[in-house]
Amino acid sequence: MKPVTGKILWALLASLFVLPAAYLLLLSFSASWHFPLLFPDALTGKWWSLGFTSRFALLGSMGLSLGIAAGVSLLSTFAAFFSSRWMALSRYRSALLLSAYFPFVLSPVVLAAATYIFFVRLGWNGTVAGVAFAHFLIAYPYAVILFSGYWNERLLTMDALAATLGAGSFQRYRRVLFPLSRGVLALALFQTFLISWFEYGLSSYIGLGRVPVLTVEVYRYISEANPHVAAVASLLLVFPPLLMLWVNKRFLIRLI
Amino acid sequence: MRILEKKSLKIRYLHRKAGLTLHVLLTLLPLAAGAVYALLYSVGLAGSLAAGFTLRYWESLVSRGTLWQTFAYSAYIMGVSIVLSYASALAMVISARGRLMERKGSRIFYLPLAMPALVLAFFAFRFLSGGGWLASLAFGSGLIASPQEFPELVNDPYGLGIIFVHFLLAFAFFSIYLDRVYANERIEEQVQSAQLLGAGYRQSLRRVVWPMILRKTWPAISLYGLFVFGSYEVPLLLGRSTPEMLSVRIVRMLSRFNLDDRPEAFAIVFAYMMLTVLLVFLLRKSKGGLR
Repeated sequence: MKPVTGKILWALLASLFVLPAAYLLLLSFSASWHFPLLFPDALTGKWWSLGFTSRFALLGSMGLSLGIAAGVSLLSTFAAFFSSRWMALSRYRSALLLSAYFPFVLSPVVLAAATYIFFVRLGWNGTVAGVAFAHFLIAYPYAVILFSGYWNERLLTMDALAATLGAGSFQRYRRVLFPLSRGVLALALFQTFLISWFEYGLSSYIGLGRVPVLTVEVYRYISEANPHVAAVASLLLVFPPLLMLWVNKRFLIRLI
Repeated sequence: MRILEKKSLKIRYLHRKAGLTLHVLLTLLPLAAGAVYALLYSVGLAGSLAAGFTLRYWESLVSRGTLWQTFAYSAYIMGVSIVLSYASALAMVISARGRLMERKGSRIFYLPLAMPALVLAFFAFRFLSGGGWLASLAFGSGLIASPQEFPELVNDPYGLGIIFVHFLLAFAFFSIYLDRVYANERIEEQVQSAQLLGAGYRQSLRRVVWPMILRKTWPAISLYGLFVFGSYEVPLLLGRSTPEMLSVRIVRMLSRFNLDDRPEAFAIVFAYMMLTVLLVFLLRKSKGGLR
């Protein structure tokens, strides 16, 4: 590729990738922005201040989303770490790992539709606990898949060595496995956090619109034709992943 | 001593059992329970319409072509999005010789991955619709005289808006992923060896780069394809009611007042779940597939 063509392509790509965030930022500060204006006629901070009033309560939604995502991420990471260790030692390892792929690849909202009746029977529909549990059902298999390649011979031997030297199960986790696995645990924590943080279909279906997580609120403002507050809510939704990108870009690459 | 050893073995056994039971409870049980419920509902054996075994909901779905239409439309969106994004990303990675992410400013490739699909769909709606930014640009440059003259890019029958958002997400993902594979598999060295042995540039691409990259990346392509196939937020905002993607159709049929739609919706749920299970099995069985 010629250097000039390469530079033009690079500039085009950069604008394509930066455009959504830049556009939403401008929209959130625009007094009004409609056809055929290419740029807003005036800038204002009122949508941001309005977004945090009791009418919109975006801060509360953000707090709720953060709470659910943090809880789901902690629980699914440690549950998956625990069960994947035993899976690595099991003779049914292959079949057990395969079972993790099914909920992982299925559309979350279809999973919600299929299992909704059980949430109703348990009284969990329309509740924060129900939405968090539904998120957990898709975050946990992801974490298991993430850990599946992690339990190698070396790690299992270290664990066995600690056991031979007299360490109990709790001690082995605390003194051997967790310290050795800090990197992969951090990766799983951040990625399962993102799974929960980004989830819309499952949250709206199980939550019945009564659990105002940030994604549900973004959709609500879009359908209410309130694009400025929707832009504010969207930017709040994008903020934690951008922070992760700044800390470590690896945290954002999911699936592989 | 022997008692202590026995006790430790017992605790270990219980831990193992607990770990594996937890796993089955969290992965297979909800899925199996959901699939059985969907099947029973679709044949009239569960739910508010249960009045004894019947195949009429399935027959109605098949005869009206709803089932095929929904699956075919989702497969079309998946195919176009994946082929376009994968081909573009591969072209970028090959032209950068696997050093795309070493370039200054390559962090921008991660930006779309920091955005939820819902937010990108919202942006695409504001950007591509008749009264959106692109239409304003076309109006400003004299290409159109009113928003109605602007081509339908969202809520259109070809799913252009949906494809645009999936392309943006998948292109960023595949660029990063393929660049990593290109470097890890030392493909550049293989290309140079092939060229030393007399292969031309195109030949080395066709015989070395393409087979090596495809073999390594097709599980990721398949998984990503399945995500696009079942995507919800993007077609919800950018799609139209006919044709409709699978997840949106299911949810819409389940939320209608007409209760007769519910068994048909559950029939689609069951068919989709079985298709997913089959595809994951095939992916697992195939050479170089899922671990």
